[in-house]
Amino acid sequence: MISYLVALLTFGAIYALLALGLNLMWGIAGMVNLGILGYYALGGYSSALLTMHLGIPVWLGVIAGALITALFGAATCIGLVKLRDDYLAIVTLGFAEVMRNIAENFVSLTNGTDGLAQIPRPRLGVTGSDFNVVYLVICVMVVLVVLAAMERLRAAPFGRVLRALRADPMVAASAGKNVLGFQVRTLAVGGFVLGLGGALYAHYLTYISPEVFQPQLMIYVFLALILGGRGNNYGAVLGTVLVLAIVEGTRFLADLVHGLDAVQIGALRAFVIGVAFIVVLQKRPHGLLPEPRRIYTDPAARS
Amino acid sequence: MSLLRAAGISAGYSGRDDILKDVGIEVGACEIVAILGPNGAGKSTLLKTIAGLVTPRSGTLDFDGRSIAGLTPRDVSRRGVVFVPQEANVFPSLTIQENLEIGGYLDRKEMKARVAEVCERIPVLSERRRAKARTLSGGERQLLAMGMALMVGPRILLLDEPTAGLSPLAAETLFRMIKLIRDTGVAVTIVEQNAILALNNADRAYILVDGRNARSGPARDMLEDREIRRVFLGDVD
Amino acid sequence: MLQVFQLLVNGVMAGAILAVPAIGFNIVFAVLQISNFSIAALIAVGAYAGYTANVLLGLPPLLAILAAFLISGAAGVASDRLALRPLRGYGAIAVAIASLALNMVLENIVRFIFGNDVRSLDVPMMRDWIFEGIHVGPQAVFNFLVAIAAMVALFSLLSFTTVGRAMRAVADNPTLANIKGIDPEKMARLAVFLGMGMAGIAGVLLALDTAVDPTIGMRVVLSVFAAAVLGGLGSIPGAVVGGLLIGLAEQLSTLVVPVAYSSAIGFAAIILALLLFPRGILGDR
Ligand SMILES: Nc1ncnc2c1ncn2[C@@H]1O[C@H](COP(=O)(O)OP(=O)(O)O)[C@@H](O)[C@H]1O
Ligand SMILES: [Mg+2]
Repeated sequence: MISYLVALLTFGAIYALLALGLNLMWGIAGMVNLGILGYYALGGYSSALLTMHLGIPVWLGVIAGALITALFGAATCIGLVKLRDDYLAIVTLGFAEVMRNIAENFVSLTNGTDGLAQIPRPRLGVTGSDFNVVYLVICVMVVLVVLAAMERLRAAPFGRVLRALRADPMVAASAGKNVLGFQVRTLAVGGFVLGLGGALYAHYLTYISPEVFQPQLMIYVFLALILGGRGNNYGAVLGTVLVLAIVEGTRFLADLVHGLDAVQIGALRAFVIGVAFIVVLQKRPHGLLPEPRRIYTDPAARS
Repeated sequence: MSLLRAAGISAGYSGRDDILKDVGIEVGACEIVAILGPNGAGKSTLLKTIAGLVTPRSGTLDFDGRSIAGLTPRDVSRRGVVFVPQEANVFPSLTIQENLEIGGYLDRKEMKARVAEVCERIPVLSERRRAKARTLSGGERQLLAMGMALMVGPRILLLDEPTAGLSPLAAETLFRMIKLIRDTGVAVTIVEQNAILALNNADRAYILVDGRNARSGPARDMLEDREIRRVFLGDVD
Repeated sequence: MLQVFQLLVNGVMAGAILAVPAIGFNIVFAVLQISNFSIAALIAVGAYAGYTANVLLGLPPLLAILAAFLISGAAGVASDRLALRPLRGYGAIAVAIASLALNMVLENIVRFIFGNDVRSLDVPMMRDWIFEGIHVGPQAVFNFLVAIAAMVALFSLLSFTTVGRAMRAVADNPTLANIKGIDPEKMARLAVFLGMGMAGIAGVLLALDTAVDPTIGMRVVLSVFAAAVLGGLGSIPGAVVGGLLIGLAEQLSTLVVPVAYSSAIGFAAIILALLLFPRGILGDR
């Protein structure tokens, strides 16, 4: 039971990073991105490959993986900024699928659908269940650091400009803001956070495969953000905890219903989670924690 | 008894303060009534409120002795109150023929004959029936919007700046047409930027300023009122 | 050279089938201004409706296609009403994300009932026809013709009937359409019914082409989105052009990259195309 909880919390911390990264991109800057798992996977694969093939230490691999993802985020931004919201949603969704397609088929690099196994774990001086606890502590600390950084970013002039962009890019542009520059930096920083999550995931499981692209995960992250309160960093973390509780709670469905096979139980769980998502959206479209409003109003923020 | 009667109307857009404050107008049968006033006075908002696009927050809104407040735009149109918006008043990707047919959507009997009738009244339309409305010039577009409104046999027309973008000559022609329409028994309420033109053609007029009734009266008297000419119509002579 | 012609033929046939759900996606977008991603699951619903009609009830393929159209259309309307309509006030993106969850719900209803097994429809295996060295399967020709017929029927409905005109009017300008007496809600329901019905038809066509399993929609939906976006969101002719271009691109790309990459190629191509046409080729909205 303890080890189950430790594992659950570790995944929770990793998913909280996803929610925080998405919150910066979508919650604060208003750029919808349904391709977050593409960045997540890129961070995981990069760090795994660097540590496996170049033998660099895990901590360095994690940072390198996150940086590669950041660069990649900046690059995708250049191609995307011209697109309107609804086009952006579809294109980013497709972007993740392209990444999955590459992960599945570029066998010489990614080992295809079998995935990369035996990814090194960081040397923490402990093994077994102790390792897992220490790793959890590290992940939680990373989340706290990222949370603090995101909060500072949100409150900084940078964050104010992002909210102005979300309200109306045209107005922000006419107020003399370099819109593209801000968006590129947002996707770079957001990409860094998502890549970091992916790298922590890979080195925890010691395994990564195209299964990281499971579409449910993307839905969960969005749900976490919406449930917690889009635009609110604490909400992103709180929402992750709640979503995890819902998702894990449905495990006990299996004990409640009898006479179903494994496929049906899986389908039932996914059904319940999906319905829960929709109900939450309908009942609490603004989430539990509303976005913090500042008294200060940027001239560009007024529409 | 007046055909359309709005009294004590307050209205505004969701989440914002009232734009219209205690506004009232009356339009009699077969009357042409002009609504004048500076930009942002709330003239369009008043027409939208009558048309059911904006819900009045207080006041009464009666047409032909029955309340039309709170009806959907569709139901207001069904009563014969036909609104022609200031902008986006045609369907750009539909042909002119199709636009006219949609204009007559509420009453689809004898569609062909009625389209022919409207085209006869507005000849530019019949020449280009198969063209998409987005290819029309600004003036032609206004005429099409009028034509669409005529397709349902309206009892009152609410026209929001129908002469915008028209040459002075075309504007005169449009007003001549409006008078002809009136002569067939249709009341007309018209918002117009060119106050002199409007007052020369209307029976009565209201001036709105900052969402309130400022002046009202017979068009002829208002044309001759020096103060009105100076203060509201920007006349400098 | 022969190989190129073969791929062109295959591309047009595949593209026509992609165009059917792409039209469905775009008609919903045109009238509701909403990306309804649950179209993937409704393709699966159609495939299983077709399977039920064809294999379990023994009906011929054309009736199975009709059944799929009706059932996917009805499922689309019902699910839109329950899940998505209450969210419309919160913006298009909120609805789009909810539609992803709806997709998960619908796909898993299908999975719950039918399981994960791969099933085939009951059609005779036929030998390919060969013209000047180019192979065409009779089933593929049948599917192609059905796709064309479905598109022609929808075009005719939109072009020549009052209700079709009314739907296009709502797509152009919902407020003005309301003033003119058109009930926007009714048109929205009809658009969802027709759009998701088209997805259902595509489901059976894909099932006839390969086989049925709950992920049948997910497997093609990316190409469908690519077609819809490439042609221009909300544009019906655009969806046809987009479908054909994506079908051709996916087939022709196999000349230079392994087959497994073809869907990635298709999508990468549209990202490039969108750099040139940020609103799609025939899109203006
Ligand atoms: N859709 C809207 N939402 C919010 N405010 C609006 C809207 N339309 C008009 N307004 C505001 O209402 C006021 C009156 O506008 P309007 O009725 O269009 O004036 P007019 O037609 O006399 O120029 C203006 O201050 C305008 O900014
Ligand atoms: Mg106006």
